[in-house]
Amino acid sequence: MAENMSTSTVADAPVYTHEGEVSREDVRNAKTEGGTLFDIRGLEVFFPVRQGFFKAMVSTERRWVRAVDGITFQIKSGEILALVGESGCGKTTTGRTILGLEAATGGEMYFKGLPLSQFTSGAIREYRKNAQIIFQDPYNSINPKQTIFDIVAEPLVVNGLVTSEREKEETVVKALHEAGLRPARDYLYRYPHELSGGQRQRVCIAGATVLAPDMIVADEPVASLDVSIRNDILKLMVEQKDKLGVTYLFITHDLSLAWVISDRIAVMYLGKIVEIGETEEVVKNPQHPYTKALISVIPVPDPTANREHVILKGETPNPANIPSGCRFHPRCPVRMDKCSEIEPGDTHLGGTHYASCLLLES
Amino acid sequence: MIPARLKSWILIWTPVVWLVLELVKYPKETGWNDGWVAMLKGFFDPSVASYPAWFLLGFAYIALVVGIGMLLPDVVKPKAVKKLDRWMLGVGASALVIGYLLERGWLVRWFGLDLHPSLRPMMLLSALVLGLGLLLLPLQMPTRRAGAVVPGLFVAMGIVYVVWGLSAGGLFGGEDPFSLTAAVGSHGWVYQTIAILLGAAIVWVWGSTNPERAELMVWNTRQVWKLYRANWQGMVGLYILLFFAFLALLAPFLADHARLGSTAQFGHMAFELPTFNSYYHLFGTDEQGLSILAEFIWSARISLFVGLMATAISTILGAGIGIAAGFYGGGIGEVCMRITDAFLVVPWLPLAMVMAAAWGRSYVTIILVIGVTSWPGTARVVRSDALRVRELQFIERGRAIGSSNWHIMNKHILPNVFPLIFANTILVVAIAILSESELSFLGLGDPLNFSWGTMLANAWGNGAAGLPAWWYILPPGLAIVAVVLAFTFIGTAFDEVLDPKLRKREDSGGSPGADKHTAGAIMIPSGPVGPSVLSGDAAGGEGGLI
Amino acid sequence: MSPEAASTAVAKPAAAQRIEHPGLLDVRELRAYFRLSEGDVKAVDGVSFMLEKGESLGLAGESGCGKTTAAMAILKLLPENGRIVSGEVLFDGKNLAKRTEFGMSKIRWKDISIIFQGAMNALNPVQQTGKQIAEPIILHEGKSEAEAMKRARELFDLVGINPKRVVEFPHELSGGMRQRAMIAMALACNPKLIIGDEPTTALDVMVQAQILELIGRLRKELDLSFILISHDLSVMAETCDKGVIMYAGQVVESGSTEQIFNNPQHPYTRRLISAFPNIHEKREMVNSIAGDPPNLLRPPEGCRFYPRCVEKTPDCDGAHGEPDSVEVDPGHFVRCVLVHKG
Repeated sequence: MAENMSTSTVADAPVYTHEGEVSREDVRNAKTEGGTLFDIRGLEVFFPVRQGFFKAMVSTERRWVRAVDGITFQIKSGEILALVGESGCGKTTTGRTILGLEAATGGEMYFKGLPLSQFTSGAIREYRKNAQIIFQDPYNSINPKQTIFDIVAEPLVVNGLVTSEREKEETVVKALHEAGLRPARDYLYRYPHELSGGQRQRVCIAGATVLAPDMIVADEPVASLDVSIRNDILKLMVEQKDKLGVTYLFITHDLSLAWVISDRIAVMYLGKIVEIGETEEVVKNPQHPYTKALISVIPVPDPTANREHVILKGETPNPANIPSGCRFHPRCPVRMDKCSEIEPGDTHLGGTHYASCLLLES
Repeated sequence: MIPARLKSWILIWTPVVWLVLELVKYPKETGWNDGWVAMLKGFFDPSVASYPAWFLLGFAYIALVVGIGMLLPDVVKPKAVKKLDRWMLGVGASALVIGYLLERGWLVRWFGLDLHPSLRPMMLLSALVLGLGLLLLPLQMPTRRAGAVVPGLFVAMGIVYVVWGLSAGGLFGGEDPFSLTAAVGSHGWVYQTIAILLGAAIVWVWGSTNPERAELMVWNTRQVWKLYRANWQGMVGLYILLFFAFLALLAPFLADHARLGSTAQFGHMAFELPTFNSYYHLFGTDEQGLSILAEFIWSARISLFVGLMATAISTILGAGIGIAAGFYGGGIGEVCMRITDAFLVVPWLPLAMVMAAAWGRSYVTIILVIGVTSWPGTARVVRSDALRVRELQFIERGRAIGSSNWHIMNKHILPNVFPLIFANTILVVAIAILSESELSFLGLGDPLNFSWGTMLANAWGNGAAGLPAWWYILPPGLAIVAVVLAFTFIGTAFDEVLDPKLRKREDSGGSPGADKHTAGAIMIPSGPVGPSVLSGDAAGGEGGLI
Repeated sequence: MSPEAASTAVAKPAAAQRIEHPGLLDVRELRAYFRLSEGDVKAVDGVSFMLEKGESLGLAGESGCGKTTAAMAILKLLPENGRIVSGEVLFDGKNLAKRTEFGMSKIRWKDISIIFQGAMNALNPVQQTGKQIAEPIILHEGKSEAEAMKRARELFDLVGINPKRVVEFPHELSGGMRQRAMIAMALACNPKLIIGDEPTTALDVMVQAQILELIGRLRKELDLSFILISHDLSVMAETCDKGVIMYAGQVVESGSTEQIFNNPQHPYTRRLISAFPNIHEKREMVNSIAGDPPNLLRPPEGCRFYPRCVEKTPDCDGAHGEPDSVEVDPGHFVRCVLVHKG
């Protein structure tokens, strides 16, 4: 495990005993231990920095973009966990790495107790049925040349789960219905460009739920939608969590949306989780200076709201040039001298609330 | 229930297809002079629809693969076997090609390798591997779950083609031994008619078992046509093309083929001016006293045919390599692009001359030359579009749900790249026809047949320019210009037409869901997107569709 | 008392109020349509609002409501098939709606400038950023390139970018920086009014806060008036003095932001406000508004929000005609049948 971990339940971390490769059968028979669907430990995702031709020849050191710099957290079965942060913080990379769309360069991810790095290709295919993704842009994330039927049926077809045409149609209709497109049969033979943005996003959701996955990673699912339909999609996600037991990893830059629907929030900054805990705790009682600043600047529909806006100077640094010590120190309004030298560990603030700040350690 | 429109389309187009295919191989000697009865009889002449046996057996193979493939159940098609089959095809074909090159001694000359004697076993082995791969090809077909009628019809068509091919090769009642290249006239029109009817039946049954998809297809086509019709360039191009197509197809009826023979029969003077005295003098005569009108009409066939065939080769090669190069990127992509570059720099004119010298002057040579030298252009264009499509997010979704590369290329990349391929193909036809004229003009065409380029070559070579025998030069020259222009117009029209976002259904308001991030865009909010009103036939009786 | 008499007793005629105090920008019953083959899209169909000098006004609504079109109509930047059908746009007493293209070119950027939606992607990637800012200065004020570049440096400083960065290309600047550059460009010729079309929509929350703070500071320093077009009511609440809520091409509610948020009168306004989460209040699921906006090719008769309204009464349906704009409080206008009834 990486030396510097972000917030985690380290003390009572379960030990996973699976030896050797994880086969397809293992994945199929796996059960959620103690309600934890995912246990992510010290996850690191680095990308090499593309250097110019001459630089590559001359310089000896390799520079890395540390998109995800050692994070540890769990995703509990049946919860909505929000990964919140600004662009460049690594939240999207984390979601994609969990699904295997990016390669982890360090750390380990355990799915139902099984280490993802040991999955055979058959195991990964089985795993893909259990973990799906919804992308941000409903205009580009579905093939404009396919009918809605084909789009939603594709996961079934590709994974060889279709036994008859009749059954395929029934499953697709059910998924569309569950996603709120009713009457579902009317939508089967339409094309994406005939539907509105909200409807398209529902098609994406139907496409993700048709395999009855354990978890869905929702990457900014409502960012491209009108405000009045955002809430429909959010409500749909909560409904699926309640009725179908789907776990959601909700990736968003909008803390107020996370506030509305998620059970727990993890705030990320420059590749690390700086604060994590129950939603109420994190929003009403934030401990990390970054979280406090974020919450203070989020606009609310109340012109008389009179709070101090803590507006940070500058912008999030380039993940290829991470500041020394606490990576937030250049912009921190309450930094101390030692913040530029020492990297903070995790402070347990009670319950599941953790934050990573030197001020809390003293 | 088959959609009404599709029904009428089948009923109209089947006889049209039959007629066109009949005319293509209509006996050239029969013409007006022989009278109505003889002309009608000509359609049922034993020589009509006579194709070489290998061509027919090839079609038979394709039909059987499709039919049997659709009938085989899923259990015999595990992914591993399918992959193995593809590998066998690839390896077998590559090994054969390399073996051929080796045998021809090319690699000997370049690298000093002399493996000649040991090549035979390798060639045999690769032929076996390839053969096995081709035999297992039905495994690649998806199993049809909606009934066995359509696969059965495909198998039937395959059997018809097999019988036809065998009889064309001389197996039945021929004195010579069976030969794959033979094209023995054997009442081929009977087989052809049966095959066409089977094809129509396939479309019919498909339409009946998939009414919604058939309805979609019909609607899509009508939308494309509607959009196309609104484009004046496209319509002008289409009319010109239709004119020349008629000229080409109806050639036996419009001009007596015998008039292209030697002068002695008709005793006309060389280089006579056009007059209105007789039909065949409308365009005057050439240096041999032959009717230029007759030559002009018969040339249409060759010019169009060569252009289309060359384009077919060019497009299949170019699109295939382009998509593979664009999708795979990395090593495979680089290799593909280097091969493309290699062919790109081949100067086609010297190549044509060399090939003509080696394989004789004929239109097959010209087709091959044009095909081989024009596919790189298509490949580059298709590759860049494949690169663009590859970055779209639904490709990533495809990976996330576990699709294989093959599936993604077929279902996602190809349909999105297709509009470009189509528009590009049409422009390639124009270039191919032009190229054929150039090559023919340089004397590389078939000396026994006429094409517009050949006519110009003859005109030039016999001093028509000096006379000036404008009636000899203008018709073929203008015809080439007109046809090339027609295809260019059509291609430009299709560029505009094939964007699916331009198509609207009658019932929904306008473009759905205005994108709020588009500055100054016309903010047309979507009307309520309610149930689609399908055409009367499809909707009748099926409550679920309304 | 008949309903008509009651309404006139309660309501002050909207128009009379405004003639007494002509502000910097006075938009009256603006109508702008787009010509399509199927007919006219009535994108802006009777929009009125007023802006004083130094004030900031928020033009809010969902996509398709006509807010961007209204802004474009003010500057006569509508596309080819768009036109102003009727209404007045009084700027400093001059009616812009009636001006010629030549006349408008004198106003644009000199008196009114605009920051377009997605502006930070509208910079020319192969030209230095400073040069792009200098361009309008050279064109409008006839200054030399050196003088214009000097002014560009000043502007960069004003918007918070290191003046030395004028030689950088757009891709070398971050999203927030590019937006600041666009603001600098809008300020180039010292306009009186800036229209910002979704200026912070694509930005992170912290950068958005910085940009909004910057705009607030500039307004004070330069006595600028600002029209903020946004779908985000929260942003409007916190930064604007006045607000105009648009729906289906019309203004359904307008007034000071305090009036609108503390006492929303129109059902749409109420629902829309409740669709935005308030992170400082009790935690609850946000609302949605069922249905779709009407098709502006054939807008419904009567109240346009009627099909989606949850507070509707039988009096609201089309037969009763379009509701008029009624002043419920000084400066607070609402277009709703129910408000008519007092």
